[in-house]
Amino acid sequence: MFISTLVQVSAQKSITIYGYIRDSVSSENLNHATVYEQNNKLGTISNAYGFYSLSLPAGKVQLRISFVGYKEQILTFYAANDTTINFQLSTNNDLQEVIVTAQSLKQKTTFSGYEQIDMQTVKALPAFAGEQDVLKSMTVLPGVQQGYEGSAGVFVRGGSPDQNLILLDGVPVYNATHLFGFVSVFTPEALQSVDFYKGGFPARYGGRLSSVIDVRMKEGNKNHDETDLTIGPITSKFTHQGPIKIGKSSYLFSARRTLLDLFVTGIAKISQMSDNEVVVPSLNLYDLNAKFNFELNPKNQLYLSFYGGGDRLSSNFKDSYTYQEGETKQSTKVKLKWGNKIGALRWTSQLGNRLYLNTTLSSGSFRYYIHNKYEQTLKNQDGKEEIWSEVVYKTQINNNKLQLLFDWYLPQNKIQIGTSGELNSYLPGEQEIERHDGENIKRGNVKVNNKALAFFMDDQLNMGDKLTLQGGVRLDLLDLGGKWHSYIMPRANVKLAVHKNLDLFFSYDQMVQPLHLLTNSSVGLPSDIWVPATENVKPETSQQITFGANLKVNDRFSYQFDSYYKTMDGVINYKAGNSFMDIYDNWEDLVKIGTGEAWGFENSWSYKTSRLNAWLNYTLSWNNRKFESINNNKAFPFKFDRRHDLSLGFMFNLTDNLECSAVWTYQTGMAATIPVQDYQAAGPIYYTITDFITSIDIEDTHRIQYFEEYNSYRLPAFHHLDLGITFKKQKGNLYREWKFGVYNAYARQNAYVYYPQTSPTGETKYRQVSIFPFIPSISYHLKF
Amino acid sequence: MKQVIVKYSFILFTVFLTLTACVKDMEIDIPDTHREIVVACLFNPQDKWELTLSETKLLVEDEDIFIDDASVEITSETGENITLTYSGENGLYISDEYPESGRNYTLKVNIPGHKEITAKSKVPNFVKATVPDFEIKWIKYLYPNNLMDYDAFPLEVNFGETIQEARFLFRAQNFDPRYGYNRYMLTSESLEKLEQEGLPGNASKELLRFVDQWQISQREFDKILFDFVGDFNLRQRLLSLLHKEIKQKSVPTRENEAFRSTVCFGNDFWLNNISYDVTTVIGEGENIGSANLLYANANLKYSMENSQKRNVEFWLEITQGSKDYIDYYRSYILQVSQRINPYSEPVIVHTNLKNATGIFAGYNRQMVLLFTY
Repeated sequence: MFISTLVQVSAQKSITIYGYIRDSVSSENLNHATVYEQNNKLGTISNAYGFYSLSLPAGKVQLRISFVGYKEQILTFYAANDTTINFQLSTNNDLQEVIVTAQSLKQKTTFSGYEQIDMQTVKALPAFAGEQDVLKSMTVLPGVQQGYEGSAGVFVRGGSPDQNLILLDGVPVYNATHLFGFVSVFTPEALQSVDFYKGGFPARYGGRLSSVIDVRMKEGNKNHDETDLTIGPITSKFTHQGPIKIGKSSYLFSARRTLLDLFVTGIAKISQMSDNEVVVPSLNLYDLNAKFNFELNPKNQLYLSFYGGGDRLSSNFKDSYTYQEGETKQSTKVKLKWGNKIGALRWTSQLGNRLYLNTTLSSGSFRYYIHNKYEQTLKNQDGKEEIWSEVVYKTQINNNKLQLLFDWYLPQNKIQIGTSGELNSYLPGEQEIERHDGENIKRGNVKVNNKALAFFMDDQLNMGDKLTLQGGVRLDLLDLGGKWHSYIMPRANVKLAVHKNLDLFFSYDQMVQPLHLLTNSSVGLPSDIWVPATENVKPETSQQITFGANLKVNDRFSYQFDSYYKTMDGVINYKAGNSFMDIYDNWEDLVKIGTGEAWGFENSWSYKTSRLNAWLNYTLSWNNRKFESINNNKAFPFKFDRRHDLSLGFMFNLTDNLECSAVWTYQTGMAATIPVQDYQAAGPIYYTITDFITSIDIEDTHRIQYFEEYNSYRLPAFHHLDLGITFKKQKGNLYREWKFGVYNAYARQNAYVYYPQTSPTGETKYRQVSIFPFIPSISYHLKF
Repeated sequence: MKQVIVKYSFILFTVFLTLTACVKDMEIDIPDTHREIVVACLFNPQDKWELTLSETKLLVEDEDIFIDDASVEITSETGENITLTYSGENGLYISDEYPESGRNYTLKVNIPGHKEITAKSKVPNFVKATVPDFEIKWIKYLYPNNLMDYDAFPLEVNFGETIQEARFLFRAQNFDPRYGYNRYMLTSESLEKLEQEGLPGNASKELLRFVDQWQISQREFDKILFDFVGDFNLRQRLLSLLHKEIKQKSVPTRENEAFRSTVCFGNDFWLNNISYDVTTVIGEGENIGSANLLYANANLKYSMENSQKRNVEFWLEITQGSKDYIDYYRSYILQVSQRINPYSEPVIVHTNLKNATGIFAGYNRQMVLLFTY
């Protein structure tokens, strides 16, 4: 049958229909909109710049154009020659119905392992402390897990957060969270789309093992000015967009800042220790997004985007005391700063009706900086003595990249081919100490530069309307400290429509990650340090194989199944007893290199009507690591091995102005190494029993804590129920929205940190710190 | 300084967390715990063979579980069999024989119902260490692991030969003759008096562990009252009674336990301290002829500056260990020092035993008197 179809196609004249798909109001290009020709059962998807090209036999054409959240358009016409058609889609108030239609079409054109995160859905989900969050909303997906309580860290199919390639306008974001991991750096009002891959990776993506989260900023409204204002408990946001030249060029500017510092500083002042002791802490976070796009001519477009964001923490501690002989004053000022900076210049060019070129020059960096100054003044009868010391610690990563990417639309085929070159620099922990006595110290890991080249190609081949193949290969040439190494990564995707309502999927991926993250906590602490792969600590590599099925039971109910098996090589772990506090040594000496293995079964049931969107996602998975000389060389469960991961949720439009949502999340407790037994040490040690950092007594130094296995215990299960309700009102051009939410509605005390404690009666118990037992929130949003 | 950075980073983080944080006991599902046999045997040519057998115990349990029905046999590389017999208490097995330097020994322990426990170790060949005459030159030493300043003076240990595979452990010790020869004992009768005075039951239970045994210092008794008696007035009354009741005697020898450790740092490429520990220097190296150390004692410097001689003896303990001995101490100190660091990777203390945990390792120990001041 495939052969007869091919013969039939080749016997007719082939024509190409191409153009752009845009938003009718803002004229923004729509990424990943579906174009489907119903007579020939051929389809394609617009690229990131709204461009599509579909080759068909000449004749009667019936095109269906759809995009999540937009009214579908159907256009029927007779096409004898190549034809340019630009579509303007308008948003649909009956949103959920459109989602259903769009999903069914999406099934015809996309592979397993890919999700387009709909910004409307992100905004409709219950918010954590009033913050809608792209990364957190992804954790309801099967195969995607949340790390700790409240964390925006994302763990995909047994991977750790550093194995996610998070891109903002194509530029890597190295630390995607604020406030020690509780809020992501992405301002939803400034975002256009989020493409998420957990398997079946296109060859243009490389550099990480587990997932790709490709976030794109809005281009800005090309037709009229638009402003968003949101006031919330954690942050307040302002976004403005508008035309530079109506219909041609536009800009977007967005700013977000916390108001928490007002509370924190205020509370600290109220609870001051004494007149002699003053502690003034300060805390803030901010995000700035800006984007400009210029239409040079109908076929060429120039984009300039920028993001800058970060966190600031500081504290000023002063105390003084007077005694008989004199007076002592001391002060300690601590400043911590960390954040990302990203810039991208992109030129897109339509080269004919089938070829599209995207040239991107980008730069991204993440920097973490601590400055600490201690001063002490002693005054007595002998005079005045001043002691001071200043410590600066910094870690940094920079990425500069030039990429050329061609989209080439052929009959039955879509080929994506490209190349990129990168210059990277890493500063993995450098410390400078200056002292009053001139005994200055500079130590740590010196700055390292490296280069990388990549060549990649994907070919998507439609073999009739039942079988779609996508084959790709990526070649990475990596400079690992002066010596070049090559890595070839084949990728394959197969989709077979065995029935009009049942698709089967298969994929195979190889990935290489030429950088590592030194982390103990995996919660996105700024103290996590990026280090380059080297000759001694080679890049991480992975292979993943998946098999899945999509079953559309009826127009409302669907079921999706995915299974995966993934192996990882070259993953790293701190050696026993080491942590980020030891980074002053050569980092290569602090880590062990090992392997990982993960497998799981993902199930997703969804039910959608015009007003209700309900789902149940359940993942059963295993996730192990193995390192030489850790756990006696035996494999052990990774800290985030969660056997069961379940998400049950619904979003319900009660009326046109009232929307409510609820999500219940359940995960098996984290794996933990907990000493429950001990024994008397054979010989004495004279370790000081009071810890110099925390001033806490280290108990029972003569006893050895006995661990049978690494991570052999489970913390209590992690679960919470989040509720949200949104009141909307549109009056003329003014749109208003009140959002009320509760995070962890039944106040489940999930463990964030745990520690042993011996009671006065001699009984040892583990105690846990829970940080978000119940978080109500309210936010107000204005759009005009 | 590092202390200050970490402290204040922690405070800042805590400010945020404590807005909503709460603490409660955690329920951890602990399945039926397998108890492991623990062998404790660090042997040297100066002491008769001694080995302790016990089981690992749950942290919530109070007392160790000792094993009294084992057969313990040690075979030297020459074929000599040494049988250790049960002493009658605390899982201690003893023999009247002494280990010898340079010999390999194989341990076999058989306990009814358990697999045979085996281990091998050697007492290293003894190397005489000397500390050549030196002049105390105080320097300010910034210890990199905790960024704190210490007043220290350098000294060199000479081995008199080149050691192909050197494995050493150094500790600085001092012996104060004013207290070092004293021993203290609390009798059962005195404990009863304390109980009548209002000593809480848990404090009594703790004190019972030391009753009717001579102790090196009375600090242990005091510490228990400070830890377990919350009421200030009651504690003062009990302390007063305790000090009145404690019996005291003098002994003629400097027992190991009467030495007090002080601070010591490695000052050589092959030596280092573990983590934040400042009392033990460990080194492994090839073709080693000497070891450079920094000896630190704040009281000594103060005394010397003020010409206050107290006749305190300053010693250097030099232990030449087998590989297992060094690995054991290295991991043990590391575990203790990281015990309250929640970000640290867990440390499993080294064991060389098959079918058990603990240690069976040989060493040679020598004490060098540096000076008296």
